[in-house]
Amino acid sequence: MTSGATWHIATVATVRPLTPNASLITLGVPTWPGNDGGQHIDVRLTAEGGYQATRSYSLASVGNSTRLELAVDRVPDGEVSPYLVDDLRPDDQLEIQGPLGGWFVWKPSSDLRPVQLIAGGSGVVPCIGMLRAHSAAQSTTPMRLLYGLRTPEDLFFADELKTLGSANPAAISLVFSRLTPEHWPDPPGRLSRDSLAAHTIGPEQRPRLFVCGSTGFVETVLSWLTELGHGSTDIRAERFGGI
Amino acid sequence: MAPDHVDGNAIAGLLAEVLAVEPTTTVTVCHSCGDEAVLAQSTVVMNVPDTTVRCSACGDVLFVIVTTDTEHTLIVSGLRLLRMPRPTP
Amino acid sequence: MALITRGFRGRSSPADGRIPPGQTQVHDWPVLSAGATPRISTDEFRFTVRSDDDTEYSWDWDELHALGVEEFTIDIHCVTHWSKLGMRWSGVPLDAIFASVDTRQNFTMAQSYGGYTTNVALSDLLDGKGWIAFEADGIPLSPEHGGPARLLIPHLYFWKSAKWIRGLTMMPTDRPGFWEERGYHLHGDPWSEERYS
Repeated sequence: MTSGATWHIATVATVRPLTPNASLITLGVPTWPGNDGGQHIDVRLTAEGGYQATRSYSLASVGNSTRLELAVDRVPDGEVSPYLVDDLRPDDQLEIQGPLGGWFVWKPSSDLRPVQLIAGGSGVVPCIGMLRAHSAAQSTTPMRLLYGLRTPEDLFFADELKTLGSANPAAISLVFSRLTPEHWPDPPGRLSRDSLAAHTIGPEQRPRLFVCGSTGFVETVLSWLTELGHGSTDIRAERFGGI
Repeated sequence: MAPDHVDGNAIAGLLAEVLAVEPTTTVTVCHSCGDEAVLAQSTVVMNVPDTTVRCSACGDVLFVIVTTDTEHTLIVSGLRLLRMPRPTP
Repeated sequence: MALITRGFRGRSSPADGRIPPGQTQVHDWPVLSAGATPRISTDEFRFTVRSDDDTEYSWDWDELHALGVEEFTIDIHCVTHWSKLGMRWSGVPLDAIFASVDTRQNFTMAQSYGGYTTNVALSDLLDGKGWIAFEADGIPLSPEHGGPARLLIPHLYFWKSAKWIRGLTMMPTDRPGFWEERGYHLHGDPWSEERYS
């Protein structure tokens, strides 16, 4: 699949709450050419007076489906995300551009090196796309996800991650910074270099690493990965901005 | 001038292919420090009306995009080269 | 023609005659930033007016403040169709700066750290119309918002309020700056929608 700066008209199919602060939005896009795991779209909103706002959102959906799935976190004081999370309803139409991006993308291949995904908060969305592409291809390449989040309430795609985790307990690691589920083995705490090392594939296995989250999260994780001995050419990152 | 030169019309196809790149995997070489990276690794500041793309190694500006309602202007001041894969037929 | 998004107003509220045509009110301050912008410390900051015959008038951070900092409330209007009303700013009026500048020229080119320029007529800077601003809504300007100091000319579109201001160069005639050479209007009055040339 390719990447293309083509605008499409998307019709909202469903909007449902994913967490108290986020919605899962599905869009029907008849002209969609399909997309790879990790790709994103630009969503453009236009007000009556001509004012426009464009934001990028990663796709959780992959493959040839013309139904796209995005998970949108409500940014306090944001201009676009509160509209998408709270005001958008079925049959509304949006302009979207994509599929975009070719760097922060995972495609099934004959490469046997393991893959480590590291996500902070809503940075998990492109990782979900990669996990789905991995499942759909029945790939034998080992793929693991470390997902850092604040509380169990903030968990995106809880059921899907639970299913993946019960099939392969090593595949999914969650690190909660403020509050954990009951009977959780670790106390809540911010991700550290040590907990990162404990929950990810070690540098001796030469994994390919994908890191996605806020700019601050990504910068911190990248410096830890380098200190732990991972090669910088093995790491790909996507920064959402913010702190 | 070479006697067998043609004009810009002749590169319509070639340049259409060059400009139809997937941006994030396009390789950039910084004019200042020579650092080679893909565009996804650059440091970007999105302001209005300008978007500034800087080398993540030395911080110098690679290029600026200025946007109006009807035009984009790409000011390429700090790039030694761009390299992109050819599209697969 | 762009598709109008049902119900999307960019978080506007009813205008009361303060919103110019084609603008939408916002409550946040739209700037997306992910890293490097010019970072100028107040120690190294200087503001320089280069007048006729290249005479230079220059102030450091403290000297500029000593000219008298005003607090005032204004509306700002960005050419990308957003307006933000009732912002509290503080800065030194250009009237105070030009009190000691000897010039017979009527136009200026604003120069920024980082190399950007924008042209402004002297008449758009004086008589209480322009400031060198240091704070917005009680907070020192961050580098992303043009700190430590930016030009502030609220009656013109906001690109004229040059970020990271380092000086003004007097000119005998008006000529386009960086943005104006790239399609932006020479003057930039939001009420007559002087967006693009």
